[in-house]
Amino acid sequence: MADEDGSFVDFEQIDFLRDRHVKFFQRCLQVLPERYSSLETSRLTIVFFALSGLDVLDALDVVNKPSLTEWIYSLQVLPTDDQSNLGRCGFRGSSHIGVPYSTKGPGCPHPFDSAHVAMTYTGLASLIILGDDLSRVNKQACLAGLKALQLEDGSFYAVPEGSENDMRFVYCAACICYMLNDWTGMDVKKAIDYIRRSMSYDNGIGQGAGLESHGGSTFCAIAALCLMGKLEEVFPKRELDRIRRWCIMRQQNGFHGRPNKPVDTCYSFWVGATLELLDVFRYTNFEKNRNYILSTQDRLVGGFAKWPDSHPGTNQEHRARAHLPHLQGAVHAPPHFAMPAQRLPQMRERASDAEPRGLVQYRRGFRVLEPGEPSVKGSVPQHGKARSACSIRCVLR
Amino acid sequence: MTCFPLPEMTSKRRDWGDCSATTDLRFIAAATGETCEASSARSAPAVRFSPPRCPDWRRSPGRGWTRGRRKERRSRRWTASRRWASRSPSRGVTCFTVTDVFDYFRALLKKDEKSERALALTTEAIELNAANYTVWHYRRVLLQALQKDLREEMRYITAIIEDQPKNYQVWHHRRMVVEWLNDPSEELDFIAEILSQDNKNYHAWQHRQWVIQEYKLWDGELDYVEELLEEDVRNNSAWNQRHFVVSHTSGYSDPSVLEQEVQYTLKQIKKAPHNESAWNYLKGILQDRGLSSHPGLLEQVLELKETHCSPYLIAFLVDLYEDMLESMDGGQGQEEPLSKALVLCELLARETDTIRKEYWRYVARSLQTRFGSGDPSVPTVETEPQTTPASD
Repeated sequence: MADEDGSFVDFEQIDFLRDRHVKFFQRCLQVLPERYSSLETSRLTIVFFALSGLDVLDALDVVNKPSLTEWIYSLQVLPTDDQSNLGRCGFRGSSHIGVPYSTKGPGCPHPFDSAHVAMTYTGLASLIILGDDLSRVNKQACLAGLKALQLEDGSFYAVPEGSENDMRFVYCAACICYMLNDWTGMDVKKAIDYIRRSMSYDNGIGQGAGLESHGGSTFCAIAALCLMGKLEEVFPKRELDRIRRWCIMRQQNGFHGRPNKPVDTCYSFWVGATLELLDVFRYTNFEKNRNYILSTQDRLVGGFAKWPDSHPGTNQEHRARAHLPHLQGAVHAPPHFAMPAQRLPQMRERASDAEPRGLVQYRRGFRVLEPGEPSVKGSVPQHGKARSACSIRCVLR
Repeated sequence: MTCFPLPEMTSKRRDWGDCSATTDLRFIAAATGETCEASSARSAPAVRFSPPRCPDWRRSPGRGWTRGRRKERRSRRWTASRRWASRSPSRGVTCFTVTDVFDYFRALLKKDEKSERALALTTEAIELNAANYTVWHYRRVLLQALQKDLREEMRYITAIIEDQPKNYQVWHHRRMVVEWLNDPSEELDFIAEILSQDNKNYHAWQHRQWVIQEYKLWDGELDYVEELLEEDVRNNSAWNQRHFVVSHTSGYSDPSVLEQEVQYTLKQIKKAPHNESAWNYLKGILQDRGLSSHPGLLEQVLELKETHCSPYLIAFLVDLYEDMLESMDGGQGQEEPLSKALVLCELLARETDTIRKEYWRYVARSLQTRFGSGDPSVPTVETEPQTTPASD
């Protein structure tokens, strides 16, 4: 169970290297090593991790906001003149398809150009962080594009051409509807049903029915329900207590994502944020969690890695950063949404009548960072990127 | 991405077609290449990648490519670009770069060309970036349009997955090919091979569950799970698979099946007491029927406590007593199970699971609130609720 043998030597002295992390994110926004080129189709998520990380560090002034805002809008898949591509609208991850650069409509017809649900989500979130009012987002087109992705079983594809379908995209869909303040983009009842069926015998939540419970998918499910304002309606207290138990058992020093797996910085966010949403994060061991996260901090280039002595990535960086302030207790913000506190008024304007629990509870001006997606593989960034963001949050106390 | 004069498309390696088509494609490639990234007059693109063969900005003394617990594999993209670049210009062969491959890809995509050369190009593009879902989709379109040999494609995707088993796109592609062929006969063996390298690979398990459920391949799966648990009784994925198989075959409603599973699990616990997966399984299959209702279970667990104790065992007892209290429904005799549960919570907090001490005290307070009678003779949890963060 818990690592009690003090194998991390004297971490009291480890300091949080804020400036290094700021530089790390700045570099992520400029050029990444060629080794990360598999992220070509999901560059927008990298931007999101970097922006929200910088926001938590109160360092957004290093970013050229107008320029970045224009770039993000250039990734919007807009309806063509004949509106025949409505089911493919939203945001792309990058310009990898080769559609001519444009920040306004009408959309350019292309046989293979379509949005990706995670990019639509991170695109909208990034615009909000940059202070944009989303007035140039074609909301109806985004919602039409989202609707086209939902399957009969309630889960979502990532792209209209078809892809894998799992809890990650249910979460992305919930975030999109929440930010656009319009739940007509999805069949909420079916999505809830999918979440319920994904709860495992061990009381964690898997990527789908029958699949192994996992910290990432548990976060996606719980956070999606919170955004919908339906957490307590879907899971009565007894079930919530069981989920709480599963989540809290993930702490070893840092957190792992599944029983008998090694810890990884990003789960300090995935599981930590879930515990916060379930109102029991305060019962975790802050010191051990923070010490682990700081042990993965890269003192030379900034960023956090999944383990000590590994390469840092923006996923870890983001998640670390997202988590540290929670540990400090100094700030609060809806961890299911990981949006900076000052964005909250904008979000609240968009809040649906059933206000997600996170917004009600957490008002103390704390920044929370958006997790993006779990388990990063494939079309969304690898753990390497989001971990750092999560870790920082855990440290800033 | 800069626009530079593109090389001739023909090479010794393959024929890209006649001149007019070549010129046409080159022109389109140039055009799409140019508009791919904004010029300096527009906003700069965010997040670019350094070109292949560029030293990793992270390199520093004492830290190399293989630093850390995971061996950093040499970039495939780098290797592929080296191969392309190694051709000698004197042989009249051109050098392609990664940019070339994807510029041509964009050109073909725009034309929606259905040809052998397009399929060959997707192979190159995949080698450079197997996470590009557009390339995979285009490849599937081509496989169908050109009516390619899907058995050949299965061999191809098998090799790709073996090289990159943690990529979503490759597993999805395999699933599509299996569906087209309507032939799952190779799947279980293939997945077992992948699991032999990493027996917790989530993609592999997900694909396995899909194949089994879709094609009703339940026979032999429980034996496979038991083999894996023999190798590593702490493999949580294998425990999950066990639940998947039993719940979809015999189910747990049959009392003899349930008892068999309980005894199997207790046996595994005796082999490795500190195994959360086994305890989770035991609790999982019994919790909805009532932990305290299963005949003889409390006695067996109390016996185990003497010789094979663990924090999971103690937590299980807390849950069992809680279930007992719930079923008493406010009736007589609650003091004893409540008292036992509270003592065990304090044991967890003080000794056996101290990292979660605040949580166990919270659990104790909840039990007290729900089932306590206010009787001063019943032990209560003394610790006040935490207002400051927990630390050791």
